[in-house]
Amino acid sequence: MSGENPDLLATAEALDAARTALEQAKDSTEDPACFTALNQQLMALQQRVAKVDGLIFAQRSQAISDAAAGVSAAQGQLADALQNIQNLNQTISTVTAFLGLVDKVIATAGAVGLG
Amino acid sequence: MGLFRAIAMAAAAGLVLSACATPGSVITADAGALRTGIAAARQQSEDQFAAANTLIRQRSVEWKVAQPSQILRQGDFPAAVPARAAQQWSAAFDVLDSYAAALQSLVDPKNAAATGDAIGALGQELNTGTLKAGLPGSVVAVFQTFGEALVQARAEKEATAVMRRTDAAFNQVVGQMAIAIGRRSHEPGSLYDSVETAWNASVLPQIENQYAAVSPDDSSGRRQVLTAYLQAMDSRDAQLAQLGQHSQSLLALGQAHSAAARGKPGDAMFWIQRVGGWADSIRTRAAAAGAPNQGAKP
Repeated sequence: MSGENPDLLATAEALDAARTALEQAKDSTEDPACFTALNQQLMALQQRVAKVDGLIFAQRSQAISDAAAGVSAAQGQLADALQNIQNLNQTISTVTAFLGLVDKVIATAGAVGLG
Repeated sequence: MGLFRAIAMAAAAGLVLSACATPGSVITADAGALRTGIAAARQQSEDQFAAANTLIRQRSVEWKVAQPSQILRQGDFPAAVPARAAQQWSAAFDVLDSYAAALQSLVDPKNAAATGDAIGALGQELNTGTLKAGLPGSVVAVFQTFGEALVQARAEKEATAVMRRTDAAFNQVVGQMAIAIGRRSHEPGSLYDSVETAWNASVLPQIENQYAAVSPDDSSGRRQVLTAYLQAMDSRDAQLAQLGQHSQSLLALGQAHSAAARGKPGDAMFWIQRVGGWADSIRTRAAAAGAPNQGAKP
């Protein structure tokens, strides 16, 4: 993904691998002391994962913000197209109003004996 | 009369052709559906962000309490979704919504109906004014519908063209959103990963350690811990399922946009309904206009 820090992503992958290793170690022990110690390590690791993932999410959100500009550009094109339709309606209405005005002028001219 | 009949037939033929030339009501419906989908995705995001932040913060508190350090820092409480990121998502959804709203406005049949009405008013003026054109109501109705069809067809063609040009950018936005959310295990850096790690590497291990501390003779104590453990597993599964669905829905939003941009030209039922719809419109207008102008013959 564009704008993503490869070092951060590599760190996140390393943390994911470490989590998998700790979970496998838990699965293979029956010693409560070892098991709880491994859980302590997992909880410490989770704090690092939260920090690194939060940073990556922030970077990806910036990339999303940048990409949204590409969609934003389309709004102007849509607004122009809508304006063209409204202009057409306005033109037809103007012709209608103009004809009505002409009728009134003709009627007035007739009334004063010019018709 | 023959001239008007020829004009009317040509207009009707052109009407059918123009109706067949564009995606028509499909894009009108799709633009509305797209906007509804964007609103739903925004709500899903806000809900998931709040839930993820609450979970991560709770884990940080538990972690901090267990540490011997007497120094407290803001950095001890990382956010799954930082405030600035949430604002950027909100702004991105604003853009998508504005875009869908502009699409909806452009293909809104009211615009074309306004043209039809304006043409009808013009026909009325030609008939009743000094010109006394004597246009039959049925002919005015055909031109009204023809004008309306042309305007609608033009709007839909423009909308489809803009959607095709924008499709890559739209899919880039929602695609990146879907990646940021994530939808399965072992996608490092995703929100799914943050949440899954919080449950599997913090919430559940903490309860496991509580269980280890309970004496094997304390059945009641063990039962309480086990109940909490199972509830936590259920909550984890529910939250992860929602995140996965959210990621899928973002991808589906992109697919819906692509489908609408393509206009589904092979859908026979669509064309039949489209042509039939305009034909009905002509009949309705002719019937409505026929009464007052029935006697007006050229």
